[in-house]
Parts: sequence; C-alpha cells; structure tokens
Amino acid sequence: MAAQAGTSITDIITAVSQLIFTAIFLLMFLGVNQKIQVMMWARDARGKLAQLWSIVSEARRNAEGYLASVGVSDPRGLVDRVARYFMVQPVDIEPVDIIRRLERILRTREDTVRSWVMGSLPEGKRGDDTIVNNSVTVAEIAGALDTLYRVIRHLFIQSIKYNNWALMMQVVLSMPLILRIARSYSEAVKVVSEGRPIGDGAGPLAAFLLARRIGARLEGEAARDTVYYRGVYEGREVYIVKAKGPGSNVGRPGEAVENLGRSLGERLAAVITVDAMLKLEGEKTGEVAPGAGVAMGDPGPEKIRIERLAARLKIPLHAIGIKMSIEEAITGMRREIADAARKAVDMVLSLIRSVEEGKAVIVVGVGNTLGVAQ
Amino acid sequence: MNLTGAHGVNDILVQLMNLLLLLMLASLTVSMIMGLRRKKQPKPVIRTRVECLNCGYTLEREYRRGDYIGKVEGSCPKCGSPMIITAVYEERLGERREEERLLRLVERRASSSRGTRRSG
Repeated sequence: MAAQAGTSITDIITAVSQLIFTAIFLLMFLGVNQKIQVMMWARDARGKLAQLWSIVSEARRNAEGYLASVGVSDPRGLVDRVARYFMVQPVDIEPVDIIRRLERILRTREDTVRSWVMGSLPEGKRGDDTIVNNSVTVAEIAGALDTLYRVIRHLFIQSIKYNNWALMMQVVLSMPLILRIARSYSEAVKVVSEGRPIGDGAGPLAAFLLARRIGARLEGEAARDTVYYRGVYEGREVYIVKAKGPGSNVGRPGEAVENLGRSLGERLAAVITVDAMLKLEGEKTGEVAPGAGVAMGDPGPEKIRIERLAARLKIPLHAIGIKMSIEEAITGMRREIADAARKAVDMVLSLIRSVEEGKAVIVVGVGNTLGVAQ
Repeated sequence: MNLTGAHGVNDILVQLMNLLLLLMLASLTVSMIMGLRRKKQPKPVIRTRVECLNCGYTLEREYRRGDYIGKVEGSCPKCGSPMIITAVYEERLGERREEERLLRLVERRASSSRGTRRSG
C-alpha cells in the first residue's frame, strides 16, 4: 500500500512537471518568453526610475536648502523655472553666421537665468559674485537633473504604451550609467554649495599655479567674468587667462583671448589651452596629454574665436588635457587631478620656451573656476 | 526488474526537475536581492594643501568650510612669507578598485594571448 501511494505521488509530480515544461515549451513559440522578458525589464526599469527619482529629489532638496540659506525668496519656484526653461537650437541647414546666432541663444539663456537668480536674492547679496554664480549653478544642476528624470520617465512610459520592447531594452541598459551620472550631479550640488573646487577646475587651477610660478600680476578683466595676468618668463611675455573665481564660473575665455590678441597683434606667437579631458576607460585619472587645437568643452562660440585668431595670425594652437572621468569632472577635485595641474604647468612652461624670445604667449586655463580664486 | 528500473530513472528525473526548479527560484531571489542592494559609495576624505610660494614649505590639513584655492592663510613658519591654499582635494579609498580589477583582467588576457602567439 505504502509503495503504491509513493508511486502515485511520484507519478503526479512527474506528470505535473512534464506538463509545466511542455506548456513553457509551447508558450515560447507564441512569444510569451519575450513578454516575460519585457515584464522583467519593466520591473527593473521601474525600480531604477524610483532610484533616479530619489536621487533627483535629494539633489533638489539640497539645492533648495542652499538657495534658501543665501536668501532666495522662493527656492522651489526658482528651481522649477530653471528646470522648465528650454533652448531651441539655431537653424543649421543655413550655416552662415550660425555661431553668432548660437551665441545669441546661449547668452539669452545665461542672462535670463542670472536675472531670475538676481531677482530672487535679497538686495544686499546681489553684488556678491560668488553667491550669485553658485546659486545659478546649483539651480541649473537641480534643473538638469529634473529634466533628466522627466526624459527617462517619458521614454519608459512610451515603451510601455506602444509595447516597444527595443526602447524598453535601451532604457534598462542605459539606466546604470544614467544613475551614475545622476549621483555625480547630485553630489555636485553639495560641492558647489560648499564652494569646493571640482575636477573641471583643473584648467583654472593650472592657470593659477602658473601665474604664481612665474610671478605674473593680475591685470584685470579681459572679458566679462574672465580675468588675466601678465608676466614675463625667460624673455617671453605671458598672458594667463582664467574665469573669475572663486565662485562657480566658466567665464568667456574665447572673448578674452580675442581681446588680448587684438591688442597684442603680431607679437602673439602661440595660444595654449589647458582643460579637463574625458579619459577613456582604463586610462589613469590625472594623466596629462599634449595636443593640438583649442581644448575647450564649449558648444562653439568661445572656441571659434580662438581658432579664428590663430588662423588669422598663423600661430600654433597648443592644447593640454588633464584626464578624468565624467563623474570626477563634476564632483570634488581628486588628489590626482590637483597634482596633474602642476604637471600641466611644467608642460606649459616648456611650450613657452619653444616660442621665440621677445614674443607673447596666451595661456588659458579652461573650465569651471569654482573654489579657485585669482 | 524492468519496472523497478524505470521507476528508479523516473525518480531521478523528478528529483532533477525539482532541483532545477529550485535552482531557478533561488537564482531569481538572489538576483532580486542583489538588485535591491545598493553599492555603498566610499566616503571622501577632503584635504587642504597650504603652501609658501617663497620657500616651498607645504602643510596639509583637513578641509574647513570656506577654504578655496588662492586664499591667504597665515604666514610661513620658516620664512615668514604668506601661506596660500594651493589645493583642495578629496580622496576616496577603494574608488578605483573595480576599474583596476577590470584593467588587470584585460591586461592579463592580453599578455597571455601575446604569450600564446609568441610560443605558436
């Protein structure tokens, strides 16, 4: 009896297992496996989207906290306004004067956000460049994160609505990288609030160290929010340009070089740009690489001014890149980057020595000068 | 004899199927738990480097809010010249561990394939 009962249970289990496996096998032909896969991706994407939302909320909270601490009247409203502000790219099927048109759009955006921040700050603090610039940057980072969340949410909802598994797959596969970048931006809010240098400040730091090394004197502003030093190194006149710190600011290096170049004329023998550079995976942070051209992550208007000046005067354009990852560029400056700025200074000095004596050289420290004064 | 043998095979098959189902369930659970667990970010140690630009005397200390590069901070204990902050940086222990592990893996593969080619 016991043996019989044992046999019948085994038979039932066998039958059920075989039925399950057969059903799964048959369902695979009907595309159910793909539906299950999409369901699993959707679950994964929902979880990651929730993580992204928590990162964005935290960044917004920190940004609003900072803005409130400096006296902004309606921090939430300001961040919302900046987040919803959009920019329309200029017509590119007609390339004539596209740079000037793009510059107009960029300046409009910059001036509008700045005027909003100025308008919400108490009168006594409007004259403090550091507070104004840091508030603009903090509001822009929080706004950018908010936009990032809305775009990813849009793609996710669209993929579900139209049963687009290819789009869903792209969303799921891109999420780890998006989360990494979002975390870095969220951290950047804290760094900007504290006024600490970020990785992107490698260029301005190199400019600062170079000025100190050759004993160059601060002369004034060569363009809005952009200062320059003048010094002499082994018989060559050296002009050093950087954004005005220590607030968060990238300045207008192109305009500054153009103005200096105009006054120097034929005496100008070379332009050297030092900037943070995105490293390839596997490369070391803080590696310093020489190159040709203008090292500048600008959308065009600033960079082209330097290129045009060099083309007109037929002078070399030297570039020095300090390598780092995107996360390291927007978060607190790492030790390797701070040390690399010194190596970049040595490289700049050897480039200056290659120029004919009696001539002038312009060195530009490109990047955000947060936490780096003059 | 035959019947007993068939039953024996059946039992083993059933056990294997059950084991397979169990393994699938376990791997699903593990992957869910791993997905939920967030990797801890290493906490940064923030340092400030203060330097005398006249004699090169350098000291490093913990970062204090309000520190920025270019800020003059006291005078040099050696030559009396003003001391200036020349770096504010952070260090994160273990930040590059994963990257270095992957790099080692790639380089080991590359060197072993070079070795095979040479010996071939």
